[in-house]
Amino acid sequence: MKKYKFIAIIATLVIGVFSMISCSDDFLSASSTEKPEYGGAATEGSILSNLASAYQILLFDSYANGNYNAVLLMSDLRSDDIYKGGGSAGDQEQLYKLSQFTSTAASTLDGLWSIYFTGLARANNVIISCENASGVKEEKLEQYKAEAHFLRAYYVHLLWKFWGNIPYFEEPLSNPPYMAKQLPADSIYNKILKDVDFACVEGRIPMKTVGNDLGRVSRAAALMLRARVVMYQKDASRYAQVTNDMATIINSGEYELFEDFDAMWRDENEFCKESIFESNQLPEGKTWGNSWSGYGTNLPAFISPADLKDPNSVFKGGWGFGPVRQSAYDMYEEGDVRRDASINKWEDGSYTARFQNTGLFQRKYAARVGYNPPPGDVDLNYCNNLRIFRYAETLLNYAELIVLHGQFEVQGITAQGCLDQIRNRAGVPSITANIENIKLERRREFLGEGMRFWDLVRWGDATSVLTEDLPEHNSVRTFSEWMKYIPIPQGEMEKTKGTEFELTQNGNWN
Amino acid sequence: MNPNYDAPVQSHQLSISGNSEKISYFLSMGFFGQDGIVGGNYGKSNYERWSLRTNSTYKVFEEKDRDFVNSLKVGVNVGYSRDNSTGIETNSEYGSVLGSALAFNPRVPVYAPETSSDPDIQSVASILASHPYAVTDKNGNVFSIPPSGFQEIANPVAMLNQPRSDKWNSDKFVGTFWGELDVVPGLKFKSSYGFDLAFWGDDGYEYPYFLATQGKDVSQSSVWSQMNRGFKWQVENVFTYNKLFRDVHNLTFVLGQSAQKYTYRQVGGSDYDLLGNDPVLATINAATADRDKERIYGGTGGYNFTALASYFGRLDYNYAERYMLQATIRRDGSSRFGPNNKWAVFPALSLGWNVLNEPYLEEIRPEWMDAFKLRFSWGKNGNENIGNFRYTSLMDGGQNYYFGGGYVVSSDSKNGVMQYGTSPSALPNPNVRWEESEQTDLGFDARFLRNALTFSFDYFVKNTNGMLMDQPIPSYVGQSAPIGNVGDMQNRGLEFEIGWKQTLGEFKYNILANASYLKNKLIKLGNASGEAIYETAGASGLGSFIKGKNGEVWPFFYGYKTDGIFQNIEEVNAYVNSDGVTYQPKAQPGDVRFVDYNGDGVIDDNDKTKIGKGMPDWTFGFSFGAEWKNFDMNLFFQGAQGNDVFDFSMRGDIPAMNRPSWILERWHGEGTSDKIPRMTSADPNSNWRSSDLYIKNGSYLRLKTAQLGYTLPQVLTKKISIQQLRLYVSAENLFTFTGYNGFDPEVATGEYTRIGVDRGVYPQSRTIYLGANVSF
Repeated sequence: MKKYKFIAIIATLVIGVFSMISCSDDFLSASSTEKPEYGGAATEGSILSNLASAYQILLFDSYANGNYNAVLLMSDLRSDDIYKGGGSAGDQEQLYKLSQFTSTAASTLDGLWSIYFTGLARANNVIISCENASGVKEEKLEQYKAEAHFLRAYYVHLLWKFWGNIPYFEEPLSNPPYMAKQLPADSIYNKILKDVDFACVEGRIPMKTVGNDLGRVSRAAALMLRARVVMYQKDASRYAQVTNDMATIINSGEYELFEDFDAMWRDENEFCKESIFESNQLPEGKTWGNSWSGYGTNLPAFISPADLKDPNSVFKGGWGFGPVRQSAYDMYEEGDVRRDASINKWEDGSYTARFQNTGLFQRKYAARVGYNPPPGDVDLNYCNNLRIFRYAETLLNYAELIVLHGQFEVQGITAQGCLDQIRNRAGVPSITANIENIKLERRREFLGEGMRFWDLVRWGDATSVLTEDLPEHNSVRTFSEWMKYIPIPQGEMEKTKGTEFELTQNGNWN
Repeated sequence: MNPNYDAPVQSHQLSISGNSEKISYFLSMGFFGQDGIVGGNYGKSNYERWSLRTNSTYKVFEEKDRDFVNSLKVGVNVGYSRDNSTGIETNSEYGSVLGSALAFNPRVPVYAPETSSDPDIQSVASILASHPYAVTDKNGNVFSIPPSGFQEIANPVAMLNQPRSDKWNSDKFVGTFWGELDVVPGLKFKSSYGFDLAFWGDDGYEYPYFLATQGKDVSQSSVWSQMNRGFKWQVENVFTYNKLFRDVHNLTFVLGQSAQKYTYRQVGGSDYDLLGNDPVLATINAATADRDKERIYGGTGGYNFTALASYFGRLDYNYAERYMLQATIRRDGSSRFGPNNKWAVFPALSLGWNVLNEPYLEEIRPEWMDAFKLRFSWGKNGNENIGNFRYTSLMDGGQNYYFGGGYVVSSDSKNGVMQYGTSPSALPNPNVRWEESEQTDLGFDARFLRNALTFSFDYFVKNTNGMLMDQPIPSYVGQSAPIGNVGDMQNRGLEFEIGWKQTLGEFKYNILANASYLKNKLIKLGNASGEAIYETAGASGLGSFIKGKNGEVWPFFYGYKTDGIFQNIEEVNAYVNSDGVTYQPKAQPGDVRFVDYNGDGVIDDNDKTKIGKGMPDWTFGFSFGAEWKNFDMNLFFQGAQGNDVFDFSMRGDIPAMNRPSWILERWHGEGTSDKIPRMTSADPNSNWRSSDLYIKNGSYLRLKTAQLGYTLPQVLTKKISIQQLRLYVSAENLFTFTGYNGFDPEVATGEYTRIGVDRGVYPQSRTIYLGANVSF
């Protein structure tokens, strides 16, 4: 009897031990202590956080997903303004191939691709959270939505210009097979236009953003993006609208040319009266290990000459990519202040010559002393803001729409007047606003700003201008119309192969 | 460079153990210290470890005169260890010490000369004029800096002298308290509670230095520290019931439960601008930078805990040492999976048959055959080794943007307002579940000649289903890929082991040899194309070079096949496809002839194919032990066959970098080489894109350890109350036979997808030990 009693006691104890630590699902339900789960309440705070992350994409392209893919440089490498440069042909080989129109799917701009698709995804999140907003004032919501639509249009328009036919989605691709249909470039154009039209509607965002909103999208920026996209598409049905848009910006009185073309590129003149939209870079936070963080840009280090010893201690050395061609230097007239404000000509011996050297380097975004203070990975953290839209482009767009595309002058603005303003600021006399002069003026004005190649493509001049045989500069290249779209990255092709979402490679690339 | 050829290693161990009727105990302490062969003499790669351990068992009671609850034993095992270490970055072609040593311009002297007319070699005065923080040795001698164009490659000796320190420390306590109760005869209950408490962190500082223009030019001193604490408890309760029925049926039941929980805490900080140059003052509180530059961080690692739980049962049955059966079933749960998939069940079964124990074979069994056992087993295992919260999508923070202004260069200040930013990180996969591997094994063990000769053989198939990997989805989704149970993999193999031991008078020796053959195959990658690229090095012109593909070994080296070197321009022009179009119009004499592998008339990425693999077919070991009188000897060889090395110790993007010596045999005129292309900085043919030129045979045979010992006669040692004194000399990695000319064919890389990729690995050292074992 006693025996059984004892066993019973032990058994009870044991069962007790078991149940004390019984492994219910609670025991296995851990919680995140730092990050909330996706899909929480769309308060104004969470909408603003989502929006900030969408803006943040503007800061990333110089070292995009670990690739040196600054969008300005990627645009200009294919132009007739610069060479690739750097240490050798094999140094950043994909950039050399880009400049020679010999890119391959395995050697293309993977960084740009992933960065701007991330921009698309983040802008989508802002728009979705705006749709689920609670307790946010209607007018604020309209503003945030317009900003997000602008950012989505801006990021997608870059993908569209570089790749043309791209997958597109407006909801997170969160279900298998996690893919979206590839749309032809013309359909993408319509999507972009829809977004940008949304942001252009009067009253959603102010013509100019000031004070604590400096750096936010303005209506002028949206109108400028519309012009850029419409003109690149050569969509004549919209020419009248964008001509009027340009005139509206001009007549708004909110913007004017900054008097000193050279000083405009210095830090103290960021967000100056000519600036319509720019990225807001700060000299901190980006690291070699994580290109998806921080506020700095690598572009200045990338395009500055190696081991530079500037006797005036204004400029710093860099990696020697993107030397400017002599022919670009020679296109400026005597007295044009833009030549020496756009191009640094360094004496032999003041720097180390590298591949495709011309002695001429880009100046607008050149590395300057004091622009990347320590600590941190200073080469990646220059504070030069990238000017995305300048009022000068408004003027030259207007002149071009009138002279090249046969639009009527509106709101009392003349094409000649626009061109005169540009030339007057540059310190050169007036010339006739004809086709040739307007094209040349654009090239002179925007050297190093990622405009030239796209201009040549849309004017239909690319094949004749870009095909060249310059073995002494290691540039022997042939451009064909289909090459305006670069190859889709091989990894992306392979991941969709065999599915209903299989990507079709652009042109004749492989 | 200045390798630490004679790097010392010390290892000491002292232990005491004893028994009494109620108590048994074991106490030990140890010390191990090793200076690394690269940087160890500069305090940059060193390791020290102290350890203490005690195990004790106590019989609480033992009642022999009753048949229930008749004994209770309790025990405590406690250990403590302390590690201090420093380390250098390894296996990176991007400017690690070894990577730099391989790439650095060999014409540049270690120390800068007083004068120099060579543009690649700068004098002391010229270095100090432009780089006042150039690295010096302790006597103030200035090290040379790299010539222009070397990117982040620096003078490797200067790197070791860089005024920087990062010391890691760790204190670890482990303990278990257990009790075992005999409930009734055959039934035992054992309960244990264990903990593992670890503190670790590092303290570091860095003074301004200049090593290279790219990323190694720091003009501000900095200091950092962090402390981490991890705590894990584990509890286990097990019933065991064992009974022998009718002398032949031996039956054991086990039923149990276990659970563990881990929590973590961290705090750390960093700051800039140290007071002075004395490392004693290199503490955060002695940093003087603006308060907005300091940084503190801390938390619980992003999770409140992680937990695992299991229930398990086992049945063992043994019939007269003839038939053996073991059946196990366990149910495991993990906090890493979502609500629907926390738990999974894993069964296993094994069978054995001792053929020669059958009574009817007793008479016909040959004399020379002692035992023969057939074995079969089948079982499933689980893996939950993924990060936390991968089943859901968390909002990543810190994705900020400044509005209303930014950085002002003239005043070195900020005037904008930061808007905190968030976006969802990875895509969620609420259905992610335990990865399962199912293994079937068939084998036998045999013993012959009075157990002198042993032989065993196994054939196994292991299928891993639903491998936990990031899903290979396009990056255009704009978020990190969700994890998934995506792939299926198969490993099949054979294992052989043969042993022999013999005693010839006073000479005893034994030989043990084993070999295993492994064939790995990716069954299903889990995406439609069945292919994925794992590694790409675009910047240096290599392109993609590691790939996985259904039906192939996973992963494999990926690139072009080559067919020699174009000796002259006629050969370039004669290399045409069936339409007469030149394959490589940009090639020059001395460039590589690539193969149109898919025969489509053009040479492009579609011609890339499998060019090698990092995984060996065969791995083998061979050991030999012998004793004669008081001498003993041990040799252990180890080797691998069938593995390739992707020799990526040469970068394509630095034209002036140093090359391996085989570059001397390159093409430099017709007929000079049909293997190694010319040197060219323009490289119009992309000679160094991924191809079989990078692939080297990584097979090797290595004398891993060799030991010779001598035990002093007891008659001598007893006088000083020493029971046994053995002196020995031993060596590690004494010889390696290999065709590979890099540092080490046994390329040890962390990540599995990089297996066999040599980017300047930290070589294994040849170590000689002198030692003594003393027992009192």
